Amino acid sequence: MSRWRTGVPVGVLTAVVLGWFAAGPAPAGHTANGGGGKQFGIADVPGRATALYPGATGTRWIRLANAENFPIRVQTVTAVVGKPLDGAGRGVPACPSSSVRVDALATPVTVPGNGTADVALTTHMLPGAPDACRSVTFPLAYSGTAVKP
Amino acid sequence: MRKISKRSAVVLGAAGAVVVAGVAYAAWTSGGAGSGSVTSKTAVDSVISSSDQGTALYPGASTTFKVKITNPNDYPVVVNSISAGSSNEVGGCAAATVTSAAVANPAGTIAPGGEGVYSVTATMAKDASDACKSQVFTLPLTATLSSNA
Repeated sequence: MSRWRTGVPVGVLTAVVLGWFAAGPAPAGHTANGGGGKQFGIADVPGRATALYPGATGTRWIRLANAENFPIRVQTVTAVVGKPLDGAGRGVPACPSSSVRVDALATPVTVPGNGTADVALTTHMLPGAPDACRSVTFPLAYSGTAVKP
Repeated sequence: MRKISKRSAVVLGAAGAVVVAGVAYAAWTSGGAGSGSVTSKTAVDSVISSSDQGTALYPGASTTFKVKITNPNDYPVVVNSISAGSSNEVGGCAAATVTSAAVANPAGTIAPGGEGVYSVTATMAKDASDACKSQVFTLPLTATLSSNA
C-alpha cells in the first residue's frame, strides 16, 4: 500500500477539524459562568439612584468592574429585589418587595480590560405600593453574564 | 508498526491545536454578581390654609370659601378628601355654630412643590346667638392626599 493512500484518513481528520471550528464558538455563546473566567463586579454607583414613590420610574446606576486584562461584553444584568428595610435596618413586613421592580440591562455593554463601565437600570415602584413603603431601602442582588467580544 | 506519513502528522497537529483553541474559546464567558439598593421617598405632610373668607354669614346662610393645600413633596399628589369642619368657640359664640361639609375627590392634581385651591361650603346654624355677629370663625380641616405619578 502506498503511503499516499493515507490521504483518505486525512480527509476524515479535516472533517473533524471543521467540526471543531463550528462547535468552538457555540459554547462561547452560552452565558453561564465560564470555567476559569473571573467574575466581573456589579455595584451601585454612589448617589446615582432615583428615590421612588408609587407609580414612579427612575434609574439605578451601576458600575460593572472587569478584572480581566481584556475587554468583556456584559450581555445581561438582572436585579432581584429583596425585603425592604427601614432607617434602623429593620424589616418592613407591610411593604412587599414586589412593590419595586428593576428592569434588566437593556443593551449589552463592553467593559475595558481592568476597567469599569457605568450603566443605568430602570426602576419602578408600583402605583399601589402601600404607605409602609415610604422611606425604606430595597436591597438589590445583582447577577449577570459576559463573554469575551 | 504502521508509520504515519508527514501529511497525516501535520493534519493531526493542526487538529489538536484546534481542539485546544475550541475549548479555550469556550472558557471566555464569565458571570458577574454584586449587591446594591434603591430607596423610596419620604412623604412630607401638606399644609391646608384659608385662601379667602367667603361672604359674611348670618343664621341659616351658607357661603363658599376657598382653602389652599400645598404639596411640599417632589412628586405630584391628588387630594382624596377634605374633612368636614366645625367652628371653634369664639367671643361667646358657641363652638360648631359654623360647619362645613366634607369634600370628596376634588378634581385636579397638585404639582411637585405646588399648591391647589379647593372650594368648601360653610353654613351658619339657624339658632346662632347674637354673640356670633361680626366674628371670624376658624374651622379646623384636614385633608388626605396621595401620590399621583
